[in-house]
Amino acid sequence: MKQLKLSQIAIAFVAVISFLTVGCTHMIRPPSQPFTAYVGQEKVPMKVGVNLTDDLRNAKSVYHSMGDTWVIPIGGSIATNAPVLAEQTFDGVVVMNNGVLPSGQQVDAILTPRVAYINRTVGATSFGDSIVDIKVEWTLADTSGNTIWVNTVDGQAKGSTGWTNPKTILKKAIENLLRNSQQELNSSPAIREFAKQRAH
Amino acid sequence: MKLKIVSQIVLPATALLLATGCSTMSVSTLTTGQADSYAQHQEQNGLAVAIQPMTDKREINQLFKTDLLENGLFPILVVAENGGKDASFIIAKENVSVISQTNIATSTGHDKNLGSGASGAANATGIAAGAMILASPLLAAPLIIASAKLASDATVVQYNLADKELYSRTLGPGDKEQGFVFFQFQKKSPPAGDYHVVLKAKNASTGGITTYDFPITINLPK
Repeated sequence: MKQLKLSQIAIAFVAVISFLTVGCTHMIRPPSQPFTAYVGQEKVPMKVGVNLTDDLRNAKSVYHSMGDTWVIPIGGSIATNAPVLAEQTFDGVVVMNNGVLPSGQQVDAILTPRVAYINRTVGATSFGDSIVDIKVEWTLADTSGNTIWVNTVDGQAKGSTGWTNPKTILKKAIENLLRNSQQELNSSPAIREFAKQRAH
Repeated sequence: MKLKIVSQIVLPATALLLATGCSTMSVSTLTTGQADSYAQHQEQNGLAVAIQPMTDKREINQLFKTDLLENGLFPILVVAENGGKDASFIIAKENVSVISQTNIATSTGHDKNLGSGASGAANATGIAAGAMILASPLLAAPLIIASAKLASDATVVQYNLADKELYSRTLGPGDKEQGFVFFQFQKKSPPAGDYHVVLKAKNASTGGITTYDFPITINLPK
């Protein structure tokens, strides 16, 4: 009986310690719908394949602090937004899965997004700034794999650590990233030059 | 009475707390000059490139808010400016390497990432004997975070590093890019002696490679 009591105490002790040390996982989810409020611009006259990879889809930020884990599953959002952004920039768009073109389709170039960096800073107090920073590397290559253009585009947004919903800051950071990406893609002389060569 | 306590004790104490130990670490700004204003600079085909190795601990602490050398990371600033009228050049951190003087003749022939996209994760050239390994602040983050005193500081230090890193970019006419590449070394045996910082830039339309070779002497503080 005495042994049984001791084992019960031991189990209860382990359970309490586990409860205190395991902590919680907090998911900061991006919006499920793609961003569409792009500024209308003259499109680049060529057809691109938007190459969505598993690496991109699985990209996420995982941050551990004081027993808690914070996760930002950013990859799915970039994968959802990339074809919409490409449609704003290029005349024709085809979605590719892990480098494979749908049968019967031909493209002039392949656009591959990759999450180069994602981070969320937290303030020392709840009033301190929290910054969400996302960097996506966009690589445009010809069908032989030669890089025509590559740029790492940054998107950021800031709010209060304790008083702004982290999802709101993340949403603004994604929108900032996509607007900047559209600008970079559209204003690139290297892409325009390539499109001109393809047209001749 | 309650108002007196709030105004005379609570508010000043809170202000003091926020102004001292509990304020969020600030992010420093990276300001760079024109490429030709640096001691180590070269210009070829309209693209000017400059490098500046950083070995001063105080300067590193001021900019990165952490002692990178103590964590086995050696930062080198790269500034690139396209002063040409037509050509665009592709710059990528994967195409920057630090090679020892004795290995320079055999190692610079590798062009791993330039042909098919500059998104490779590591620099194969840098892994050759006598060369330094290109490090990512993200991979090195656990080292840095472990030495940061607050969870908040750790996130800001990481953000600060990523903010100042050199990323892949295509420089059109008139464009400028700057940032740091970080090389990893063994803390027990820091590199010393004559090295070469080698950067390869690719012409976006012709595919031609231009190589910039900067001889440097590394003498890291112990």
